[in-house]
Amino acid sequence: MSPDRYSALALPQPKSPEEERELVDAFRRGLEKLFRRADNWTFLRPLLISIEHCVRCQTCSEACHIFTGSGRQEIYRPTYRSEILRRLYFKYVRHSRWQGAVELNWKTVCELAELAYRCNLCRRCAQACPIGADNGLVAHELRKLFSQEMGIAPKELHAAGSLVQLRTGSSTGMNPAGARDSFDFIDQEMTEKTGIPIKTPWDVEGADVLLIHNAGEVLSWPENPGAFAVMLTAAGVSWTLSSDLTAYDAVNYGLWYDDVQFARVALRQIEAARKLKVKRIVIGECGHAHKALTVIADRLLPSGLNLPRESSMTLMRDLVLSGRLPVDPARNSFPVTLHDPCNMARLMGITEAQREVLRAVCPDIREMFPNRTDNYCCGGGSGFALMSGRSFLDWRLQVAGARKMEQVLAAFEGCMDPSIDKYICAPCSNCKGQFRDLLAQRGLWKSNRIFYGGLAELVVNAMRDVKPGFIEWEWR
Amino acid sequence: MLLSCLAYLAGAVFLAGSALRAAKYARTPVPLRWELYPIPPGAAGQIRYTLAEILLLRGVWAHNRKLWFRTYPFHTGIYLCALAVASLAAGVEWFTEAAALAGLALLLAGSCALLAARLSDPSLKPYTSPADLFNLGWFAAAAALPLAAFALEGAAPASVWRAVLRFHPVPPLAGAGVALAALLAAYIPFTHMAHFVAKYFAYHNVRWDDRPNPAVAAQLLYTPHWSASHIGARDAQTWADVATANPPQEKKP
Repeated sequence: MSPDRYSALALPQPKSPEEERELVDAFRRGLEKLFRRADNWTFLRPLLISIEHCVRCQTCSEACHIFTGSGRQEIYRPTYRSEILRRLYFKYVRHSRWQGAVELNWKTVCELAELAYRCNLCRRCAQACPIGADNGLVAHELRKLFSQEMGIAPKELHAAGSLVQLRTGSSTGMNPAGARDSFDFIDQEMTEKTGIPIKTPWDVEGADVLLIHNAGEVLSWPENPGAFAVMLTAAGVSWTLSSDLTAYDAVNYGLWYDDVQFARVALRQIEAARKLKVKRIVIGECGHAHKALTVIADRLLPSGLNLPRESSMTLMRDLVLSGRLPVDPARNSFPVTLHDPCNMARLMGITEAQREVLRAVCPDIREMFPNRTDNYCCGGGSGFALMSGRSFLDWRLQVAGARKMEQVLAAFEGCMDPSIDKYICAPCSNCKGQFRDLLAQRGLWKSNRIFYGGLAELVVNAMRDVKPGFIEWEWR
Repeated sequence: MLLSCLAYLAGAVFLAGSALRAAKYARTPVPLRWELYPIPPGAAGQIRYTLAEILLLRGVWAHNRKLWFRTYPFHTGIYLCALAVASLAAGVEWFTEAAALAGLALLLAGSCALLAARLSDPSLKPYTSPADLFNLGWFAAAAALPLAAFALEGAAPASVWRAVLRFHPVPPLAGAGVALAALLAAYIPFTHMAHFVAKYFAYHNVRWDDRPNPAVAAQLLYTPHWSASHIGARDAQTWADVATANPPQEKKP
C-alpha cells in the first residue's frame, strides 16, 4: 500500500473490513484533534496558516532535494501530501465541498503515513514559499497524528528510540553505568592517542558547562566525544557530563514525530542540568539535539528551568579563536568541505561559528554550493539516517541523498585523485550516519579517499599540544 | 443607490472579514518556536523584506520565474485598482483613472494567464480545485466588465467608482462591474485568498519570532485527548501532567 516501492512503517494490511474501518475512524479522530487547540496548541497556528492558505503554486517544488533528486516524481512534490491533508481538512473538519475531491479510506491513510516519511523536515520548501506556508511542518504534523493518535511511528524512532531513551536513559539502550564504562574506555584511548591525560568528569555540581553528546557518537564515532574531552581538558574548561536519565544522550527523536515524547525527553535533560547547578548546557555535534533543546523546548520551559543553552560550534570558536587551544593548521593540509546541518543552519541560523573554526584550523576549505541557510539536507534528516529496513535505505541514499552527493563531488572537483585525502566535515551525528552510508554505497572512500567526520576532530588534529595524527583515515 | 450601498457594505465586510481572520489567527495558541533562517536583521530589515515580497513578489521571482510573469500582473492589478478606489474615497483623484485602467488591464491579463496555467500546466492542474477556477474566473470577470463598460458605454472606471461612492447612477454594464467587484471584495477574506492576513502571522509570529512567551504557561494546562497508549492521556490530565509523566519508566518491572 506504499505509494512507492519503499516503506518506512511496513503497516500491516487490515485483516477485516471492521479493522480497516476502525483504523480509518482513528485517523479521522486524529485529524480533528490536529486542528483542536487543546490537543495541538504546540503547532496549530503555523499548521492552520499552511493548510488554509497554500495556493499550490508549486514555487516550493524546485527547492526540495527529494523532489528534484527523484527526477521530479509527483508523489515527492512538497505539496503532494499536503494537498491530500488539505482536502481532508476541508472535507471532514470544515465540511466544505469545494476544495477538491478526496476519499478517506485505508489506502489514503496508509499512503499519508508513508508519505509523512518521505520528507526530511528540512523546510527548504518553506523558505521558498512567498506566503509562508510550510509543507515540512505539514509532514511533521502528519507524523504526530499517526503517532499520538494511532501509535504508528517507525520503530527506529519510537519503540527502539524515544521509548528506550525514556526507559534506559539513552536511545542506544546504554544505561548510566554503561555510559560511564564507555567514556572510561574513550578516556584511555584519548590519553594514549594525544599524550594528554584525559578523565571525563561526571556529575560535577556547579560546573560551567554540562556537555551533552548524542550517545550514538559514543558507539559509532567515539573519537568525537573523545575530541571534546581533549579540547575541554586542554583549555581548562570547567565541565561535566550527567549520568541522569536521558541527560547523557542529547538525542530527542520526539522532535520528528511526537510532541509528548519530545517534551518528556527535553524536560528531563534540562532538569538534570538544574540539579547539577551548571552554568550552561552545551550541546555536542548533533543538529536535531541543538534545535530540540535550544529552540523547540524554549517556550515549554518554566523560568526556573530556562537555563542557558549553547551550541558546541560557538564553544569551539571561542576556545580556538581566543588562543586557549594553540593550533597548527598545516596538520590539516587536506581538502575539507563543510556540510551545514539543516537544524543548525536553516532552522537556527548557526552558520558562521563553524566556519570561523574551520578557517583557523584548515588551510584548504572547499565550500559546497548552495550553503549556509540555503544548504541541501544530507538526506538523513528527521531520523532517516537511523532508518534502513524494508528497502528504505535504498530510497534515502538514491533519492534523498542524491543532491547532497552532487554537492560533495562538485566541492572536491579537481582533487578526486585517490592519492589526495579529502574530508567532509559534518558536525552532526545524523548527517555523519548518512554520509557514511552515501560514501559506502558509492564506493567513494575506496576509490577516491573521501572521508567524513566532525569538526571537533579537525580541531584536535590541528592542536599543537596533541601528538600528530589524531584523524586516522580508517573507514568506520 | 442600491449599488452604492452594496459597494460601501462590501468594503465594510472586507475590512471586518479581514479583521476576523486576523483575530482567528491571533487567538490560536502561541506555538512552540519554529523559526526559519535567514531572518532579516532588525525592524528595518523586516520591513524591507516584507515590502519586496508584497510589491515585487520577490519569492516567486526567485523560485518560480514562469509563474511570476503571470502572478505579478495579477497582484499589481489588484494593488492599482485598490489604490484607485481608496484614493477616490480619500478625495485624491488626479491619477485614479490611469491607475484604474492600468490595474484592470493587468488584472484581466494576470487572471486569464493564471486561469490558463491552472487548466493546462501539469504541475498545477491536479492541484486545482473548483474553488480556484471559480475565484480566478470571478477576478477575470470583475476586471473585464469595467473595461467593456469603458469601451461600450464610455464609462471610465474611476469615474464610475466616483459616481458610486457619491450615490450617483452609473450605466448598466459599469454597474454590473461594480457589483461584481464589490461582491468579490466581500468574499475574499473568507477564502484562502486572504493570505495577506495569514502572511503577517506566518512571518512575524512564526518564522521570525524567537521571543519567550508567557502565554504558553496557560496552554500547558490544556487537556489533550490523544489516544495512543504511550501518551497515557487520562481524563482531566493537563498537557503538563502528560509531559512530565514517564510511562516507559513507570512500566519498568
